[in-house]
Amino acid sequence: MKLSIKNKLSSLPPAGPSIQTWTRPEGSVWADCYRTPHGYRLRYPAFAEFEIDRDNQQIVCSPLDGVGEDTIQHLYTNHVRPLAMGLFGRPMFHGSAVEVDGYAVMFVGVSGMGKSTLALSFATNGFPFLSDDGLLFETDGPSLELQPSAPAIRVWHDVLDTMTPSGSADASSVGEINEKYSLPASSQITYCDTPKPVACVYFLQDNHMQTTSISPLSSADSAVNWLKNSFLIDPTDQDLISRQFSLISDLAARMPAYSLDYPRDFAQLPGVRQSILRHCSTEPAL
Amino acid sequence: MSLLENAYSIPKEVRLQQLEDQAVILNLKSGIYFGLNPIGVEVWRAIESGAPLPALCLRLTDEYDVEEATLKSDVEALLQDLLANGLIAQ
Repeated sequence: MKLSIKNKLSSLPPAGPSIQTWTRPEGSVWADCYRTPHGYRLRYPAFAEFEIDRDNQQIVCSPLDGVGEDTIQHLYTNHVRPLAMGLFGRPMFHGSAVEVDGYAVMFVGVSGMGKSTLALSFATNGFPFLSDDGLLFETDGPSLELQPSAPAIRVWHDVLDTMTPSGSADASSVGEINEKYSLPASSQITYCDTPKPVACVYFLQDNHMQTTSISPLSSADSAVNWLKNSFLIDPTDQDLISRQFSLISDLAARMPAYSLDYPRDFAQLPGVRQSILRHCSTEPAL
Repeated sequence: MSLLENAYSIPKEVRLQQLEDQAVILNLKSGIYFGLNPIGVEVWRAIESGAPLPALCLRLTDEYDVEEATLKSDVEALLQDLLANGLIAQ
């Protein structure tokens, strides 16, 4: 899929009402989505518009004056592309992933559940990360593989201060979008840039546990969790949802899934990491 | 009258994906989804085929070694949930 940038915003107003809106915590619109004759228009009122051409698998971005290239790339990588891929039969999911013994181990959950913190914790201790968010699978081959995504991990300031080996020296602010910082892959934050076969997935829970707790999920419970954490551009398109539902069910049937809860305490992360490594080492794939 | 005595239908926008002996159902229009355990799957299949639910409950009581009253109450609770979420209709 290709992203191209043009310098002028489309003069055409969005046709009809928005089919989906994303809001900030205080209620203002962060983004909304409209149908167009050839696909969809994603509007980020403070930053840019993206036109998705469904037939030609092309995305054209029209940034607002003064919006930086990093911001556009950030929007494309973390929101536009994950939404668009579902249109092309390749749904994406909110999750991070790390490489353990040549296999991808995934942590899936909505924002704030600790995906990036876990990915960073593994990546700074010899287990390269494949993705910080936006899981994309290659399902055609004999084994299910996870594609690597952007070589950076986005974290909040507390994580940056506590966990990065070199403090904030290498971090850049994602400030135009939110208050997160982007940590690029480095010799200390290792990154895996090749697809890896999938070992298992952990769906993150937060019930204020004092110890790490891992329990197996049935394929049906796994499918429900994948559904909860999938990117979906058009919640009114029943054909699209039906196709995505079928793909998600297939995915759930093809990999072991677990529920993972752990203490949200930076000091306990080494122990959490060890519990996860001990657990996933029993997977048949590993 | 018990919910078990009623006849139900499955709206055309509702899909089921069976995964081993369990399943997930999804209403494509509302986006509401729901996991079904093995007994839930049996109930769903009975609704699909128009089989009477009281007879199903008797069979499941034997198969799952459970009190009939407990099973009937669980199935009624499931029917209530499915109705409330637009996953079946009366």
